[in-house]
Amino acid sequence: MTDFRPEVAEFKKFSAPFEKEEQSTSKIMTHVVVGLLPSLLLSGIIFGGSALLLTGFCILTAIFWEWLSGMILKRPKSTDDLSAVVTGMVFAFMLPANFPFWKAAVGTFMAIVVFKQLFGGLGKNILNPAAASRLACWFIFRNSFIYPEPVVNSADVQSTGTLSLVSMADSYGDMFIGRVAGGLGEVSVLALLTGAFYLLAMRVISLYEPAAFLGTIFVFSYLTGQDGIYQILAGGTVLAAFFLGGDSVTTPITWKGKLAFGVLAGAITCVLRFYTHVPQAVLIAILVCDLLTPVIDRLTENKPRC
Amino acid sequence: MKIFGIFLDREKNTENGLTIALPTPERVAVPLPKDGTAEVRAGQWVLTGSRLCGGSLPAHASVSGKVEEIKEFDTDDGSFTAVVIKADENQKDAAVRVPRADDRESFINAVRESGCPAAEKISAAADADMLIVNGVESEQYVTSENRCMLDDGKLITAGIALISRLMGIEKTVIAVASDCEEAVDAMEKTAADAPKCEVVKVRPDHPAGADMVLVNNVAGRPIKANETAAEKKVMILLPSEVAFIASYFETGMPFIKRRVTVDGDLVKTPCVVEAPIGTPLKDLFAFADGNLLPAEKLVIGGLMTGRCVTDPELPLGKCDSAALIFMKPLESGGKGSLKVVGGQTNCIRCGRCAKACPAGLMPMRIEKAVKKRKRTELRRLRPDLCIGCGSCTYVCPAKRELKDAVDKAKTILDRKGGDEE
Repeated sequence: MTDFRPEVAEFKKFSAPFEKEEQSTSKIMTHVVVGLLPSLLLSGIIFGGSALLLTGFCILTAIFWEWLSGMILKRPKSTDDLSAVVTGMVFAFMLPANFPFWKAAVGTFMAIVVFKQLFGGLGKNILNPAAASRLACWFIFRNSFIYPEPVVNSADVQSTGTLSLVSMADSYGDMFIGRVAGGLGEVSVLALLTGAFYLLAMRVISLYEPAAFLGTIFVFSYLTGQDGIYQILAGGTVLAAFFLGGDSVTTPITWKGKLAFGVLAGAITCVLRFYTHVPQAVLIAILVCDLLTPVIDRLTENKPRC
Repeated sequence: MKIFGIFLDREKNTENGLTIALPTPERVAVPLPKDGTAEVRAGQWVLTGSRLCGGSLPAHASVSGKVEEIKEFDTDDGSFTAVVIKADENQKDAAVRVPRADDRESFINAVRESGCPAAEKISAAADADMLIVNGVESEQYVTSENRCMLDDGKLITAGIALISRLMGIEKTVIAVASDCEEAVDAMEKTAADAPKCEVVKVRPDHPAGADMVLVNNVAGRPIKANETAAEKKVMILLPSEVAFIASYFETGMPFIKRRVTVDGDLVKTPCVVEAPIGTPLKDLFAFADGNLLPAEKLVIGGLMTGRCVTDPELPLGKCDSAALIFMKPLESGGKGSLKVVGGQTNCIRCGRCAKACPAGLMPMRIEKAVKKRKRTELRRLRPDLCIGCGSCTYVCPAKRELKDAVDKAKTILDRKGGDEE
């Protein structure tokens, strides 16, 4: 092997520590993408190839917007950290399967450019880009959110194309596997839990926030006479618990903060669902808690050992 | 509550090798303490073990030969004076006096006369009732204390007996990392002979060998980050220091040589050598077939807390446990290329640094406050409690230089005034 290094010692000054772990932002994001793959697979089975096409389109446009905004804002190249892939994927998972492609492109534009790059790029955004953009899309393109019936459905179930949360008529089993109307990735709780288990095993997300969030919803529902398990299985709650609440950038740092975030988000979700007619309760709850994250962070700061 | 650290990659190439005595180097440069002035002149002949200077911690000639010059070394971290001795052919020992100690005072003075850095630790913890022999080497590559525990078991027994008799130590604990099985076995034999002594296996994480962590986990005395081990009546010594004290009270030969690990990806035969204090680093690398030419990084001490120097002519100091050399990376990334610049992203607030910090600090918040020069916030975040273990920078997936930021925060707090900007 030819070695072109100069044969002169050039000692440079570094500061301790001189070695770093082989962990990186792009590796963490790769883990999240892998954690989302089971849901992608099941959305392909449930809703057919159009689901895969829509997800792929969202990922590609997200990367494109990331690259373009990086060019215009003269930021260092940030497409390598794969955070745009995650944003595009999570955003697509909250869309119906027949969502128009150009509207999806507008959605990823809002996620990447408006809710992330204009805040200062990765790590500086206050709101979760995918969740914020999905909520904005819901208000702008209200008419496009028509949820098709799954391709695979058990014949004895009368799926009417309405969301489980509205109809209150789907069986636990159908909702667990995903044979109900809903967003691409949010219908199948089974696939989401598989991915979440992978992320927990890889120590990418912690159990504090999802457990507090889902636990609060269950207890709140139980106390107010609602069906707690139904509330958890329906309406993309599990996706929000593990993949929106597991987003480290917009959630608190310490375990105490994560617990507080989960309890607060769960309580807001239940209040909105049971006592108001506000739609998209989970998204609003997560985004409100995102806004409160700096406060929660300050209140639950680690105490130095002194 | 125990303090848990982080697990580092276990890269100890030299743990199965024997200690090799370095052939007498051509010339050595014995560093003098800051407050000491040389008692020898250029041209004078000295014998091995003869005194070179006074001061708080005297230095002694590590080889016999002719004093060539009193040289000033300038490094980035400050300058120091060193006595350069050209070694002669027949090495002769000076006529040394075997020290005697009957009580605490005379013992501390005798150890101080030997020039061993343990003297300061012993005098600081003079009223301690517990001795911890710190055999934990959590950092990569460093193996010299491990080697000492395997080689000098008898001396450590004698040293523990001597120290506990003269210093009034009630209990001695030898702390060994649980993954160093041979050392654990050797120390168990040692502890059986020594008075009131036991071996404690500690979790092999980093920084398990830091004073604060040892006092908390091994001695079981809860400690705050701004307290020293001496305040908790614990004396912490390295196995090599205990072994040296025993040999010093047998032979009277002062502290003139130490074990040092020579390793790194440019070193062909990594080894633990016993080298005279003041041996130039390049002689150590030459002995271990180290190729200095493509080198970029020269580290004295461990990879986590050591210091980086730029001159291979610098002499080996009294506390330097390892000399490591690494090459310039061929391309960025990869394992051998240590601390590649780049790959840095914004903080993604994952919280790994806060979880890793043994002092319970929040490095990412300190970094942010340093960037914004917020003094009031820094005062609350207490960067002055940092023990410098480097864990935060090691675990950061965004590759941010958190320890540098904490160091900077300390200097900002030391300056007087209110919020800047």
